[in-house]
Amino acid sequence: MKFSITTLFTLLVLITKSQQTDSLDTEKLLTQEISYWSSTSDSVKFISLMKKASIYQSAGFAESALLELERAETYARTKREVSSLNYQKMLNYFLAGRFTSAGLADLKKEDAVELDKTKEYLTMKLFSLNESQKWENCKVELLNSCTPADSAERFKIMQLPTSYNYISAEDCRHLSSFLPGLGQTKAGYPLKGLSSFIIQSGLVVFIVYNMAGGFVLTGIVSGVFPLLKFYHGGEQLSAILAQKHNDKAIKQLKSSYLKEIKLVMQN
Amino acid sequence: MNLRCIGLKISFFAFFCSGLCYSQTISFDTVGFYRHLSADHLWKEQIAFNRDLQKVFISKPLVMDSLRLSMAVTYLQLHLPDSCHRVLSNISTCCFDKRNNQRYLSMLLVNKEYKKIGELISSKSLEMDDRYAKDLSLSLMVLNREPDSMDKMQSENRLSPLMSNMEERYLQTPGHSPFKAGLYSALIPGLGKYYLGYKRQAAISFVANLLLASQAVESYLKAGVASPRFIITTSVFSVFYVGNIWGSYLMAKKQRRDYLKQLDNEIFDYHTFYVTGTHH
Repeated sequence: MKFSITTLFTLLVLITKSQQTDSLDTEKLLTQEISYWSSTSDSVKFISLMKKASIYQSAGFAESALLELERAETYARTKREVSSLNYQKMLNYFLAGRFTSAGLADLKKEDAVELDKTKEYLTMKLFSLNESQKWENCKVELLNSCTPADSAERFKIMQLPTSYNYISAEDCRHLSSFLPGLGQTKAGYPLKGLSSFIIQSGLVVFIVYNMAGGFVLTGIVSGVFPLLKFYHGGEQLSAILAQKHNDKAIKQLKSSYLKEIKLVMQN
Repeated sequence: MNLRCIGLKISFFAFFCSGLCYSQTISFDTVGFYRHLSADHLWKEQIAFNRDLQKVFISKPLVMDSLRLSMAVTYLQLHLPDSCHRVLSNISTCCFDKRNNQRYLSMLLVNKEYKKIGELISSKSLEMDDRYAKDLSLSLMVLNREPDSMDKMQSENRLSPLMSNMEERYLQTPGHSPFKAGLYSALIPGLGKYYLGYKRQAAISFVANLLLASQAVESYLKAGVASPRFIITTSVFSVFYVGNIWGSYLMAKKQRRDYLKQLDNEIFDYHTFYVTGTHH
């Protein structure tokens, strides 16, 4: 009984919570929208829309904040307004997980300095470049951000690779079609390659054994068809494993850059 | 300054401020602002504004219902079906104009309140277009799975083009019997699937069963009944054979269900588009 009641209440809370936007203060949003709508001054319109973006951002609606910032773009007149808009855009792109856009944001370092957001700018820039796999640019930024006197740190950054050991999925597929298991081995999974080779060799032996014993149909039905299935499956598996290897390598490279980024940001 | 003087000042200030607020309320273009929110797809703000307006018009049931209907549409646009349903269930009077009557009925349909629609249509003479009325009754027939009432619809060809197509498709709903499909598959493997219209799958089933059966026959002829080879090959064939019969039976059931589900989704999409102007 207790269990049923607890489950029921948990479900009710989850259902209710899933459809609520409690964190978002819609009244404040409305106030800013009214202020935007009733004003004729570009500056007031800009401030209202920036405030709306900020409300959305604090509630975790980065995409909605970006829409408000796009609206605000029309009313940004002064240099400071443009810089602040670009900074907010970069921040929301970053929060929305759109790292490529965040890395390519129009905000310049000088503007960030002027806004007193240098550290935030650098953090977002470095993280975004790392996440969008632009390691060459990330390395340059890291070197620029690193203290010139810290030669050990600079040396470590210089040693970071800018690319990973890429394995072509198509090549692995071809290798597996040439010799079963070879593609998997090339992708970095020798055990899977070996088991694939053993299974397919076993099936070939089974076919020959049956054919030699006069069981032609059994050889075809239980031998040839499964062999064909395993052969094509092995090709596909090679491609998938190559992709998996690449993903793993990207993850490793990202984590090594992340480590350096954290060190640089701490200093 | 004595207390009385301070009190007088406060009263004067309060009176002046309320006057100012009132004058601002009057000058504010409510309809214009509401339209602006709608045109710019500012749904969250629209809901907040709607809530504020409901506080103002709490004593006017007709206005309240219009606001609730508008709010329900906004919730639908925000993909919040539970909130939409809750707001919609608060609408009490249902005395809208022709356009809003139709929107209300479509909203009820999207929220699967078929019974309420039926009650509204039968109890009140709701004002609506002839074509919309036809579309709505066809939608209800399909959703309630009422094949008998279709003859009436056929005679009066006044449906919208999309719904006219829907009517034809509903009349052609596959009515294959799952039992027959299973029986045919038992007689000749693959025949059940052929009966359901899946020719390629039928051919594959037939060939697979034929090959497995021939393998079992070969084992019987060359190794005998008691041989493990025969037992294994026959078991494999039996599993495939029974699986094929069961598969045909399930396929027949699924075919009808999927077909009707597709029609249902198209109807919901049609009514959502009618209300919001966007596809669901």
